[in-house]
Amino acid sequence: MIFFQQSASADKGMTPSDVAHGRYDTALGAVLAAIFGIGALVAGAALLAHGGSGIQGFAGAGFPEALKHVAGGAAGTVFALGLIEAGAVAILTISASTAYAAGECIGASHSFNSSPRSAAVFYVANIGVALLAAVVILIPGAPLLSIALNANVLATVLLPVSLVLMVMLANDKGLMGPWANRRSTNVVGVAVIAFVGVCGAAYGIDSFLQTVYLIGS
Amino acid sequence: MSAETPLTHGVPAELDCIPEQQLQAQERAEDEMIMHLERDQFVAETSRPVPRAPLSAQATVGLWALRVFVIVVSLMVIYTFVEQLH
Repeated sequence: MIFFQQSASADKGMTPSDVAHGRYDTALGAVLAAIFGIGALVAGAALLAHGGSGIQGFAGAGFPEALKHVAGGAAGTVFALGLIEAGAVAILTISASTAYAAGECIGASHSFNSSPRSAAVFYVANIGVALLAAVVILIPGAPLLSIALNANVLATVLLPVSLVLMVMLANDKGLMGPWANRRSTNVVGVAVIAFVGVCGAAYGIDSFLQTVYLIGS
Repeated sequence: MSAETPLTHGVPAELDCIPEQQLQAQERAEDEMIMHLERDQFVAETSRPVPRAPLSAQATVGLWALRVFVIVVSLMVIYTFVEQLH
């Protein structure tokens, strides 16, 4: 999402006058994402409390279907709609950010403002990543839960790298001018990066130790 | 971010000395200039590479520690995923 937001901001031609609105947009998105994340956690806890099986083994429509039996049809339907919306947003942002990165890496045109003819690499990468994801999901018997969990853990482990570099850029007064980070912003930013890094590493290391039977599951 | 004043590193001390009003006026002027850029001019400006940032010894050590952390934990996650496939 970081790479998508950076590339999309440049693609839309946003200027310093958009910074204030960008901050409101980001803050609102962060709050809503946290609320929805907590909602998903509560739904998982509801299943665990009533069924005792947790979310293990659920993939696709399995979770909302199980939730429907525990919390009613409305809760299951809302959760299913949320999953569809999350998937739609994810496929758009992930494929677009990959296409932006591919264009930037090889110096090719990478913009939705460009025609497919003049930005072939960008559009091929964009559609290709979406198709590749669809193919992986449609493989019969593919371990979707394991793929989703480990991909997210890996993303969380890699996240501090981009966050640290982002904070370093945000502190560069020559680059950022009057928008450079203040000390208070840095304190909050570093605390968040440390928290995210510790949580990601803890889950990754815990799963690894269970896999090699050094600790019990 | 103008063509006359390229993005460069290493001038924080100068910026610290600029009075707030002068900084705001400069900011407004840059905003207006950016607004009047053609799209290709704007893209050319945003794709201008910036020089390497001068890093302190502590920052260099921190970044190396980050590299080691990411490689080690990533290998753990990848190993876990491969094992779960079996």
